[in-house]
Amino acid sequence: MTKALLIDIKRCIGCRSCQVACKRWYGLPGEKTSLSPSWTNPPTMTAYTWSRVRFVELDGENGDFKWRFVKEQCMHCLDPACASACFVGALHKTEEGPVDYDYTRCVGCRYCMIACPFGVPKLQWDRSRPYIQKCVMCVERVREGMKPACASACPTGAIMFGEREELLKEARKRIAQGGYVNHIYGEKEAGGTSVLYISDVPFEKLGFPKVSEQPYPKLTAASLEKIPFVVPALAAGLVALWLYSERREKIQALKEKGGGK
Amino acid sequence: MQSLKTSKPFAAWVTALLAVIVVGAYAAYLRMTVGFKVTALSDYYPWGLWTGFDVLSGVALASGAFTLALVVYLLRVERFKPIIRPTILTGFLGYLMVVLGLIFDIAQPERWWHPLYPLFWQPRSVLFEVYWCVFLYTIVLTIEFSPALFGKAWMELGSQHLA
Repeated sequence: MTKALLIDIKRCIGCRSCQVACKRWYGLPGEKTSLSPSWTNPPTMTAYTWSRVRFVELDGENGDFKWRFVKEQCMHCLDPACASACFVGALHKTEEGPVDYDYTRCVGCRYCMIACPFGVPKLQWDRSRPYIQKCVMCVERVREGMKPACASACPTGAIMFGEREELLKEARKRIAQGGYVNHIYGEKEAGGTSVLYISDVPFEKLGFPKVSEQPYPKLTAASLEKIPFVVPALAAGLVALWLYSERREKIQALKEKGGGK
Repeated sequence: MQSLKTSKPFAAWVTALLAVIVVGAYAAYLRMTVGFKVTALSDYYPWGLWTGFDVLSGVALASGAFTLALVVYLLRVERFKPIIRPTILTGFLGYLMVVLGLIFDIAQPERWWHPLYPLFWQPRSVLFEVYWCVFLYTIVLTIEFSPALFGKAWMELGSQHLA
Protein backbone atom coordinates (compact mmCIF):
# COMPACT_ATOMS: atom_id res chain seq x y z
CA MET A 1 0.00 0.00 0.00
CA THR A 2 1.49 3.25 -1.06
CA LYS A 3 -0.36 6.51 -0.77
CA ALA A 4 -0.37 9.16 -3.45
CA LEU A 5 -1.87 12.46 -4.53
CA LEU A 6 -3.88 12.96 -7.70
CA ILE A 7 -3.86 16.57 -8.83
CA ASP A 8 -6.50 17.48 -11.38
CA ILE A 9 -5.33 20.66 -13.08
CA LYS A 10 -8.77 21.11 -14.65
CA ARG A 11 -10.31 21.47 -11.22
CA CYS A 12 -7.74 23.87 -9.73
CA ILE A 13 -8.91 27.47 -9.32
CA GLY A 14 -5.53 28.81 -8.17
CA CYS A 15 -6.65 29.88 -4.68
CA ARG A 16 -3.35 28.82 -3.06
CA SER A 17 -5.14 27.30 -0.06
CA CYS A 18 -2.84 24.29 -0.34
CA GLN A 19 0.21 26.55 -0.27
CA VAL A 20 -1.02 28.30 2.87
CA ALA A 21 -2.14 25.06 4.55
CA CYS A 22 1.35 23.61 3.98
CA LYS A 23 3.00 26.67 5.53
CA ARG A 24 0.65 26.60 8.51
CA TRP A 25 1.05 22.89 9.22
CA TYR A 26 4.84 23.08 9.21
CA GLY A 27 5.10 26.61 10.65
CA LEU A 28 7.10 27.81 7.68
CA PRO A 29 7.79 31.55 7.61
CA GLY A 30 6.44 33.80 4.90
CA GLU A 31 8.86 35.15 2.35
CA LYS A 32 9.21 38.62 0.99
CA THR A 33 8.49 38.27 -2.71
CA SER A 34 7.21 40.22 -5.67
CA LEU A 35 4.68 39.36 -8.32
CA SER A 36 7.02 39.35 -11.22
CA PRO A 37 7.21 38.27 -13.93
CA SER A 38 3.95 36.35 -13.42
CA TRP A 39 1.28 35.86 -10.77
CA THR A 40 3.20 32.91 -9.42
CA ASN A 41 4.26 33.71 -5.89
CA PRO A 42 6.87 33.01 -4.59
CA PRO A 43 8.79 32.78 -7.88
CA THR A 44 10.37 29.44 -6.92
CA MET A 45 9.94 26.75 -4.32
CA THR A 46 12.37 27.37 -1.47
CA ALA A 47 13.38 25.82 1.83
CA TYR A 48 10.46 27.73 3.36
CA THR A 49 7.92 27.14 0.58
CA TRP A 50 7.62 23.41 0.05
CA SER A 51 4.60 23.70 -2.17
CA ARG A 52 3.31 26.52 -4.33
CA VAL A 53 0.88 27.12 -7.14
CA ARG A 54 2.41 28.06 -10.46
CA PHE A 55 0.22 30.36 -12.58
CA VAL A 56 0.53 29.57 -16.26
CA GLU A 57 -0.83 31.95 -18.89
CA LEU A 58 -1.84 30.20 -22.10
CA ASP A 59 -3.23 31.40 -25.40
CA GLY A 60 -7.02 31.08 -25.29
CA GLU A 61 -9.66 31.48 -27.95
CA ASN A 62 -10.26 34.69 -29.95
CA GLY A 63 -7.00 36.33 -28.91
CA ASP A 64 -7.91 35.89 -25.27
CA PHE A 65 -5.75 34.07 -22.76
CA LYS A 66 -6.51 31.41 -20.19
CA TRP A 67 -5.05 30.46 -16.81
CA ARG A 68 -3.95 27.08 -15.68
CA PHE A 69 -2.68 26.48 -12.17
CA VAL A 70 -0.08 23.89 -11.37
CA LYS A 71 0.42 22.90 -7.75
CA GLU A 72 4.07 22.05 -7.24
CA GLN A 73 5.73 20.04 -4.48
CA CYS A 74 7.93 16.98 -4.16
CA MET A 75 6.86 14.30 -6.64
CA HIS A 76 7.61 11.47 -4.16
CA CYS A 77 9.15 9.14 -6.76
CA LEU A 78 8.70 5.41 -6.30
CA ASP A 79 12.47 5.00 -6.69
CA PRO A 80 13.76 8.47 -5.73
CA ALA A 81 16.99 9.81 -7.21
CA CYS A 82 17.54 11.96 -4.09
CA ALA A 83 17.42 8.94 -1.78
CA SER A 84 19.87 7.02 -3.94
CA ALA A 85 22.19 10.04 -4.11
CA CYS A 86 22.16 10.70 -0.35
CA PHE A 87 25.24 9.02 1.14
CA VAL A 88 23.94 8.97 4.71
CA GLY A 89 20.39 7.82 4.00
CA ALA A 90 18.81 11.08 5.17
CA LEU A 91 16.19 10.81 2.43
CA HIS A 92 14.19 7.65 2.04
CA LYS A 93 11.02 6.32 0.51
CA THR A 94 8.65 5.31 3.31
CA GLU A 95 6.37 2.32 2.92
CA GLU A 96 3.41 4.70 3.24
CA GLY A 97 4.50 6.50 0.06
CA PRO A 98 6.06 9.84 1.06
CA VAL A 99 9.79 10.43 0.57
CA ASP A 100 10.82 11.47 4.08
CA TYR A 101 13.80 13.52 5.25
CA ASP A 102 15.76 12.84 8.44
CA TYR A 103 17.58 16.04 9.34
CA THR A 104 19.58 14.31 12.08
CA ARG A 105 21.57 12.41 9.44
CA CYS A 106 21.96 15.16 6.84
CA VAL A 107 25.50 16.40 6.24
CA GLY A 108 24.36 19.15 3.90
CA CYS A 109 26.34 18.03 0.86
CA ARG A 110 23.47 19.08 -1.46
CA TYR A 111 23.92 16.07 -3.74
CA CYS A 112 20.15 15.45 -3.55
CA MET A 113 19.55 18.89 -5.05
CA ILE A 114 21.68 17.93 -8.02
CA ALA A 115 20.19 14.45 -8.33
CA CYS A 116 16.48 15.36 -8.26
CA PRO A 117 15.06 15.57 -11.81
CA PHE A 118 12.35 17.96 -10.58
CA GLY A 119 14.63 20.33 -8.63
CA VAL A 120 12.71 19.78 -5.40
CA PRO A 121 15.15 19.67 -2.45
CA LYS A 122 16.08 23.18 -1.31
CA LEU A 123 18.61 24.48 1.19
CA GLN A 124 18.15 27.02 3.98
CA TRP A 125 20.64 29.43 2.43
CA ASP A 126 20.18 32.04 5.15
CA ARG A 127 21.63 29.86 7.91
CA SER A 128 25.21 29.03 8.84
CA ARG A 129 24.32 25.35 9.47
CA PRO A 130 21.49 24.85 6.99
CA TYR A 131 19.39 21.79 6.35
CA ILE A 132 17.72 20.51 3.21
CA GLN A 133 13.97 21.10 3.14
CA LYS A 134 11.23 19.66 0.99
CA CYS A 135 7.64 18.46 0.99
CA VAL A 136 7.33 15.19 2.93
CA MET A 137 3.66 14.63 1.98
CA CYS A 138 2.80 15.25 5.64
CA VAL A 139 4.17 11.82 6.46
CA GLU A 140 3.23 12.11 10.17
CA ARG A 141 -0.38 13.01 9.26
CA VAL A 142 -0.53 10.15 6.75
CA ARG A 143 0.67 7.71 9.43
CA GLU A 144 -2.21 8.88 11.63
CA GLY A 145 -4.68 8.17 8.85
CA MET A 146 -5.10 11.84 7.91
CA LYS A 147 -4.79 13.51 4.53
CA PRO A 148 -1.82 15.77 3.81
CA ALA A 149 -2.52 19.40 4.76
CA CYS A 150 -2.76 20.54 1.11
CA ALA A 151 -5.31 17.86 0.20
CA SER A 152 -7.46 18.73 3.26
CA ALA A 153 -7.42 22.41 2.38
CA CYS A 154 -8.34 22.15 -1.31
CA PRO A 155 -11.88 23.54 -1.72
CA THR A 156 -12.50 22.12 -5.20
CA GLY A 157 -11.26 18.56 -4.79
CA ALA A 158 -8.41 19.19 -7.20
CA ILE A 159 -6.06 17.38 -4.83
CA MET A 160 -7.17 13.81 -4.14
CA PHE A 161 -5.37 11.65 -1.62
CA GLY A 162 -5.49 7.86 -1.59
CA GLU A 163 -3.95 4.61 -2.70
CA ARG A 164 -1.80 5.09 -5.80
CA GLU A 165 -3.54 2.24 -7.65
CA GLU A 166 -6.99 3.63 -6.83
CA LEU A 167 -5.95 7.10 -7.94
CA LEU A 168 -4.59 5.75 -11.23
CA LYS A 169 -7.98 4.09 -11.81
CA GLU A 170 -9.75 7.35 -10.98
CA ALA A 171 -7.44 9.27 -13.32
CA ARG A 172 -8.12 6.82 -16.17
CA LYS A 173 -11.84 7.09 -15.51
CA ARG A 174 -11.75 10.88 -15.73
CA ILE A 175 -9.65 10.76 -18.91
CA ALA A 176 -12.08 8.26 -20.44
CA GLN A 177 -14.97 10.63 -19.68
CA GLY A 178 -13.30 13.17 -21.93
CA GLY A 179 -11.92 16.65 -21.69
CA TYR A 180 -8.44 15.55 -20.61
CA VAL A 181 -5.14 14.93 -22.33
CA ASN A 182 -4.50 11.19 -22.46
CA HIS A 183 -1.49 11.30 -20.17
CA ILE A 184 -1.17 10.74 -16.44
CA TYR A 185 1.96 12.67 -15.49
CA GLY A 186 3.72 10.65 -12.82
CA GLU A 187 2.42 7.26 -13.86
CA LYS A 188 5.69 6.48 -15.61
CA GLU A 189 7.79 9.66 -15.16
CA ALA A 190 11.07 8.98 -13.31
CA GLY A 191 9.94 5.36 -13.00
CA GLY A 192 6.61 6.41 -11.49
CA THR A 193 5.85 8.98 -8.79
CA SER A 194 3.44 9.17 -5.87
CA VAL A 195 2.08 12.46 -7.17
CA LEU A 196 -0.06 12.12 -10.28
CA TYR A 197 -1.37 14.89 -12.49
CA ILE A 198 -4.11 14.96 -15.11
CA SER A 199 -4.79 17.99 -17.26
CA ASP A 200 -6.82 19.31 -20.17
CA VAL A 201 -3.70 21.07 -21.52
CA PRO A 202 -0.62 19.12 -22.70
CA PHE A 203 1.93 18.93 -19.88
CA GLU A 204 4.74 20.40 -22.00
CA LYS A 205 2.73 23.59 -22.33
CA LEU A 206 2.36 23.77 -18.57
CA GLY A 207 6.12 23.61 -18.09
CA PHE A 208 6.29 20.10 -16.69
CA PRO A 209 9.83 18.77 -17.12
CA LYS A 210 10.25 15.96 -19.60
CA VAL A 211 12.00 13.29 -17.57
CA SER A 212 13.19 9.77 -18.23
CA GLU A 213 10.73 6.92 -17.68
CA GLN A 214 13.56 4.88 -16.29
CA PRO A 215 14.08 5.30 -12.52
CA TYR A 216 17.18 7.49 -12.12
CA PRO A 217 18.93 5.33 -9.50
CA LYS A 218 19.11 2.58 -12.16
CA LEU A 219 21.69 4.69 -14.02
CA THR A 220 24.29 4.21 -11.28
CA ALA A 221 23.10 1.01 -9.60
CA ALA A 222 24.72 -1.31 -12.16
CA SER A 223 28.23 0.02 -11.59
CA LEU A 224 27.83 0.61 -7.85
CA GLU A 225 26.71 -2.97 -7.28
CA LYS A 226 30.07 -4.17 -8.60
CA ILE A 227 32.16 -2.10 -6.17
CA PRO A 228 32.01 -4.53 -3.21
CA PHE A 229 33.57 -7.14 -5.49
CA VAL A 230 35.90 -4.93 -7.53
CA VAL A 231 37.61 -3.26 -4.56
CA PRO A 232 38.73 -6.44 -2.72
CA ALA A 233 39.75 -8.00 -6.05
CA LEU A 234 41.84 -4.96 -6.92
CA ALA A 235 43.38 -4.88 -3.44
CA ALA A 236 44.23 -8.59 -3.64
CA GLY A 237 45.76 -8.04 -7.09
CA LEU A 238 47.95 -5.20 -5.82
CA VAL A 239 49.06 -7.19 -2.77
CA ALA A 240 49.96 -10.07 -5.08
CA LEU A 241 51.96 -7.66 -7.23
CA TRP A 242 53.79 -6.38 -4.17
CA LEU A 243 54.60 -9.94 -2.98
CA TYR A 244 55.84 -10.81 -6.45
CA SER A 245 58.11 -7.73 -6.64
CA GLU A 246 59.36 -8.38 -3.13
CA ARG A 247 60.23 -12.00 -3.96
CA ARG A 248 61.85 -11.10 -7.24
CA GLU A 249 64.03 -8.52 -5.50
CA LYS A 250 65.10 -11.03 -2.83
CA ILE A 251 66.02 -13.61 -5.45
CA GLN A 252 67.94 -10.97 -7.35
CA ALA A 253 69.83 -9.98 -4.19
CA LEU A 254 70.66 -13.62 -3.43
CA LYS A 255 71.88 -14.15 -6.97
CA GLU A 256 74.13 -11.07 -6.77
CA LYS A 257 75.55 -12.27 -3.45
CA GLY A 258 76.19 -15.68 -4.94
CA GLY A 259 77.87 -14.13 -7.98
CA GLY A 260 80.12 -11.99 -5.77
CA LYS A 261 81.50 -14.97 -3.83
CA MET B 1 67.46 30.82 4.67
CA GLN B 2 69.96 32.74 2.59
CA SER B 3 67.97 32.17 -0.56
CA LEU B 4 64.94 33.64 1.19
CA LYS B 5 66.79 36.88 1.79
CA THR B 6 68.39 37.19 -1.58
CA SER B 7 65.66 36.09 -3.96
CA LYS B 8 63.24 38.94 -4.54
CA PRO B 9 60.79 37.06 -6.81
CA PHE B 10 60.56 34.37 -4.15
CA ALA B 11 59.66 36.87 -1.45
CA ALA B 12 57.12 38.48 -3.77
CA TRP B 13 55.46 35.15 -4.49
CA VAL B 14 55.35 34.20 -0.83
CA THR B 15 53.80 37.57 0.03
CA ALA B 16 51.19 37.13 -2.68
CA LEU B 17 50.38 33.62 -1.46
CA LEU B 18 50.16 34.81 2.14
CA ALA B 19 47.68 37.46 1.02
CA VAL B 20 45.60 34.72 -0.64
CA ILE B 21 45.72 32.72 2.60
CA VAL B 22 44.58 35.70 4.67
CA VAL B 23 41.65 36.40 2.30
CA GLY B 24 40.80 32.69 2.25
CA ALA B 25 40.90 32.41 6.03
CA TYR B 26 38.55 35.38 6.36
CA ALA B 27 36.20 33.86 3.76
CA ALA B 28 36.29 30.55 5.66
CA TYR B 29 35.46 32.40 8.87
CA LEU B 30 32.52 34.11 7.19
CA ARG B 31 31.23 30.81 5.81
CA MET B 32 31.31 29.24 9.28
CA THR B 33 29.66 32.16 11.05
CA VAL B 34 27.35 33.82 8.52
CA GLY B 35 26.84 30.88 6.17
CA PHE B 36 26.49 30.41 2.45
CA LYS B 37 25.01 33.89 2.11
CA VAL B 38 28.56 35.12 1.48
CA THR B 39 28.82 32.82 -1.55
CA ALA B 40 26.95 32.96 -4.84
CA LEU B 41 25.51 29.49 -4.25
CA SER B 42 21.77 29.08 -4.70
CA ASP B 43 19.11 26.44 -5.18
CA TYR B 44 19.96 26.56 -8.90
CA TYR B 45 23.70 26.20 -8.30
CA PRO B 46 24.01 24.11 -5.15
CA TRP B 47 27.60 23.19 -6.04
CA GLY B 48 29.84 26.07 -7.01
CA LEU B 49 33.18 26.52 -8.78
CA TRP B 50 34.56 26.04 -5.30
CA THR B 51 33.58 22.35 -5.29
CA GLY B 52 34.75 21.75 -8.84
CA PHE B 53 38.13 23.44 -8.36
CA ASP B 54 38.67 21.79 -5.03
CA VAL B 55 37.87 18.27 -6.11
CA LEU B 56 39.23 18.37 -9.64
CA SER B 57 42.56 20.00 -8.78
CA GLY B 58 43.17 18.30 -5.44
CA VAL B 59 42.21 14.81 -6.53
CA ALA B 60 44.05 15.24 -9.82
CA LEU B 61 47.23 16.15 -7.91
CA ALA B 62 46.88 13.06 -5.77
CA SER B 63 46.31 10.75 -8.71
CA GLY B 64 49.95 11.36 -9.65
CA ALA B 65 51.05 10.24 -6.21
CA PHE B 66 48.87 7.14 -6.44
CA THR B 67 50.19 6.13 -9.85
CA LEU B 68 53.81 6.85 -9.02
CA ALA B 69 53.56 4.89 -5.75
CA LEU B 70 52.35 1.95 -7.82
CA VAL B 71 55.22 2.35 -10.28
CA VAL B 72 57.92 2.72 -7.62
CA TYR B 73 56.72 0.53 -4.73
CA LEU B 74 54.90 -2.23 -6.57
CA LEU B 75 56.52 -2.39 -10.01
CA ARG B 76 59.90 -1.34 -8.53
CA VAL B 77 60.90 0.97 -11.32
CA GLU B 78 64.06 2.44 -9.78
CA ARG B 79 64.30 5.24 -12.32
CA PHE B 80 61.40 7.12 -10.68
CA LYS B 81 62.50 6.62 -7.08
CA PRO B 82 64.09 10.09 -6.69
CA ILE B 83 60.78 11.88 -7.38
CA ILE B 84 58.54 9.70 -5.23
CA ARG B 85 58.76 11.83 -2.06
CA PRO B 86 57.97 15.20 -3.64
CA THR B 87 55.13 13.50 -5.52
CA ILE B 88 53.68 12.01 -2.33
CA LEU B 89 53.95 15.45 -0.71
CA THR B 90 52.10 17.03 -3.62
CA GLY B 91 49.40 14.38 -3.42
CA PHE B 92 49.13 14.79 0.34
CA LEU B 93 48.75 18.55 0.04
CA GLY B 94 46.18 18.04 -2.74
CA TYR B 95 44.12 15.73 -0.58
CA LEU B 96 44.41 17.97 2.46
CA MET B 97 43.05 20.76 0.28
CA VAL B 98 40.12 18.57 -0.85
CA VAL B 99 39.27 17.49 2.69
CA LEU B 100 39.54 21.01 4.13
CA GLY B 101 37.58 22.48 1.24
CA LEU B 102 34.81 19.92 1.60
CA ILE B 103 34.53 20.51 5.34
CA PHE B 104 33.77 24.16 4.59
CA ASP B 105 31.57 23.16 1.67
CA ILE B 106 29.16 20.85 3.49
CA ALA B 107 26.36 22.59 5.33
CA GLN B 108 26.98 20.69 8.57
CA PRO B 109 30.79 20.60 8.95
CA GLU B 110 30.60 19.02 12.43
CA ARG B 111 28.95 16.00 10.82
CA TRP B 112 31.78 15.19 8.40
CA TRP B 113 32.02 11.71 9.96
CA HIS B 114 28.41 10.67 9.32
CA PRO B 115 29.19 8.49 6.27
CA LEU B 116 31.64 6.52 8.44
CA TYR B 117 28.92 5.54 10.89
CA PRO B 118 27.56 2.13 9.80
CA LEU B 119 23.95 2.94 10.70
CA PHE B 120 24.03 5.86 8.25
CA TRP B 121 25.64 3.91 5.40
CA GLN B 122 23.95 4.25 2.05
CA PRO B 123 26.20 2.43 -0.45
CA ARG B 124 23.85 3.05 -3.38
CA SER B 125 25.18 6.61 -3.46
CA VAL B 126 28.05 7.46 -5.78
CA LEU B 127 29.15 10.03 -3.21
CA PHE B 128 29.43 7.26 -0.63
CA GLU B 129 32.16 5.65 -2.72
CA VAL B 130 33.83 9.03 -3.25
CA TYR B 131 33.75 9.75 0.47
CA TRP B 132 35.36 6.43 1.36
CA CYS B 133 37.99 6.79 -1.35
CA VAL B 134 38.94 10.26 -0.11
CA PHE B 135 38.87 9.16 3.53
CA LEU B 136 40.99 6.03 3.03
CA TYR B 137 43.45 7.60 0.62
CA THR B 138 43.95 10.57 2.98
CA ILE B 139 45.00 8.05 5.63
CA VAL B 140 47.27 6.27 3.15
CA LEU B 141 48.89 9.55 2.09
CA THR B 142 49.37 10.57 5.74
CA ILE B 143 51.19 7.30 6.40
CA GLU B 144 53.22 7.64 3.20
CA PHE B 145 54.14 11.20 4.13
CA SER B 146 54.83 10.52 7.84
CA PRO B 147 58.54 9.55 7.40
CA ALA B 148 59.18 13.13 6.30
CA LEU B 149 57.78 14.31 9.63
CA PHE B 150 59.21 11.71 11.99
CA GLY B 151 62.60 11.28 10.41
CA LYS B 152 64.84 8.46 9.34
CA ALA B 153 64.25 6.13 12.29
CA TRP B 154 60.53 6.08 11.63
CA MET B 155 61.13 5.37 7.96
CA GLU B 156 63.46 2.50 8.74
CA LEU B 157 60.93 1.11 11.19
CA GLY B 158 58.41 1.19 8.37
CA SER B 159 60.71 -0.37 5.83
CA GLN B 160 61.63 -3.13 8.28
CA HIS B 161 57.99 -4.06 8.54
CA LEU B 162 57.52 -3.86 4.81
CA ALA B 163 60.58 -5.91 3.98
